[in-house]
Amino acid sequence: MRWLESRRTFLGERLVPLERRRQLQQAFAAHHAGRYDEAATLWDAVRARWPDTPIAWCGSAANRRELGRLHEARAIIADARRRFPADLVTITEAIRIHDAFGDAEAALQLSAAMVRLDPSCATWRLGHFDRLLAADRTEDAAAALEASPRDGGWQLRAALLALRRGDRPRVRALLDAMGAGRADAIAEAAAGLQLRHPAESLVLFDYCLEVEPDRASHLRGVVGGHLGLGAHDDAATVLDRALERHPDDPGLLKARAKLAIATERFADALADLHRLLAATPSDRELAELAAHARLAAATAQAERDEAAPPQPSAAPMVRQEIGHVANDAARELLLGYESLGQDCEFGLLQRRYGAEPLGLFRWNFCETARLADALSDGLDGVGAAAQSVLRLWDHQEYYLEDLRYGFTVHAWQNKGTIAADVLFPKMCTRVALLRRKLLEDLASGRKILVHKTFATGIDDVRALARSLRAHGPNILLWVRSMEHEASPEAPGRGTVTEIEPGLLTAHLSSFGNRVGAPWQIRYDEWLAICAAAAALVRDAPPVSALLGNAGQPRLDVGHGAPDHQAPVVDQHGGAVEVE
Amino acid sequence: MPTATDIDAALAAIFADVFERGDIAIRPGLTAADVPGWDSFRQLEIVAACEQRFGLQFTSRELDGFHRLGDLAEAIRRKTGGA
Repeated sequence: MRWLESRRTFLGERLVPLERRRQLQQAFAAHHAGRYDEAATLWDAVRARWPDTPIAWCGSAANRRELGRLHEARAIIADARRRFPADLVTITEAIRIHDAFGDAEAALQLSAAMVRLDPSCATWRLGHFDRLLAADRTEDAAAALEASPRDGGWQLRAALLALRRGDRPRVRALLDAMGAGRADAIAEAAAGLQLRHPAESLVLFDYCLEVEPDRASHLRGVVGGHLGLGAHDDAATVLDRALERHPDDPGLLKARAKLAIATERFADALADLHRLLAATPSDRELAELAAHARLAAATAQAERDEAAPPQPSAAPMVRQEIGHVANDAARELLLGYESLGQDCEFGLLQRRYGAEPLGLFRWNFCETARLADALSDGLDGVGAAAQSVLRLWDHQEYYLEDLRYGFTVHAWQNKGTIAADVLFPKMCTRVALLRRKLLEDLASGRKILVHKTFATGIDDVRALARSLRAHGPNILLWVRSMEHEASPEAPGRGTVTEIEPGLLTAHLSSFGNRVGAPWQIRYDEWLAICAAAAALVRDAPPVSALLGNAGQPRLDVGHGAPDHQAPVVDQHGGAVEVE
Repeated sequence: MPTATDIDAALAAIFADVFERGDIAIRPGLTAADVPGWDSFRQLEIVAACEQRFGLQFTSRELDGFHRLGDLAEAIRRKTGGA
């Protein structure tokens, strides 16, 4: 028996590390594949079973960081720091979490701790130098560089220090001495400087262009540097030259969109961004740029509407948008809907007919794919202060942005009317309340969800419908514009078609928000679509009860594409004619 | 548990804060049509302030059913067990 016990102990000692390694590998695999929810469970399991393993704690913390659950990440890593105070991997992850919180000082203290723990390591020392320079502590950075071994990136750091001190000849001498292949490292450093020190970034990218004159990434960097400095004409000049050489380079097209936004040519920006998003729909920066462009366009539009004198004969739709219409049937119909964006058009439609429901996405902008992700995550963290930031658009109106999903929510308050630190918690409270309400509505399926899109593929919309159905028996009405889709299978305006159970679609002749022109919301077309969809799924009253002051509209409601023309609903008040 | 008077007093304070004016007469029949600027954003501020003030949470159906001030006061009374 003693032999058997010793045999078991022997096997156990061998098998425990193997099992731990297997579980760690599973967690790493899920994490690196971006399956963060699955990875969370795996990391937590390893951490619970082998709490003396630092990497398990770091993995759990990194996982929460990737999931945007920063407070959880911070709590986990704080516990790990108490358990393993000298573990460098733990300190590295703690630094990343401080960075995620924007706490540069805490990150700097930890990078100093890493240098103290391993003074001979050039990587830690140069990393510490980078942080000191980024914190504009130039002399401390110089001292740190002086103490560093002169290898592995020392020369580039010395050049960066000289650049900060304005010693251009020394910068050039140091860069020249870096030898062949230096442009990549210099460009990487230049990119890191672009946000806070665009002038320094530009010097480095210009140098890179001297070394490699045609390289697209260097040209992008130079354009970005000019943009950062507000030198729009210079940016445009370089951009024109760059696009001649690289006409399809996505980064240059993105830079062109940024330039268009900076110069308030929002339609041009959106044209580039929509094309780029069609190719890479998961690119978050593109989605955010598009959201910003639309919000800016809408804000500029609202300003123009407000400033413009009434022109009843020339712009009847402006009058309709501003006015209210007493129509109880329309009001009741629209209260049965909840807007899921992408923008405020449906909210304005509801307002016109006196329907003022509270809705998370009523005064919001959101991208379809990210909305689907957010709903799949149960709108995790939406409304939490740690996941939100209050921004000013065009130095005027405040809006709240969700950092994880990119939603932008109007605050309807301008700078100067309220202090940002007063408004921010209020906005978070509002959004959190609306999040709770939406989740409750989704669980009951009592409202039809409506989502308009500019140029979104059906896959994203199907994903959105799926994520809605995961919450409850929900119906999604996907509204498109015939202007944006010249698709031959588009069934015509006003027609509601069921794509799949729980997903309806319909086309308007055009959306209401137009860059450079007043809002032109197709109120009656919207009403016709909403009535048709409600009739299809809810046995709602016929459309004539809503529009009916001038004859009986003919509205096509059915499954699949119809083989006849849809009606045209007159924009001025409900009269109907058939093309 | 708050009395009807407590609830009315709290609502008066909340309205004064939200609309930045102290002359709104709190009465059950008060509607958005009676107070300039009472739109969905103000409504949101009002219900958020009520939730915070009385330590309660309204359901989605309750939120959709607040057409008059009396509806809101009644929901507060019901949820707080007030008289």
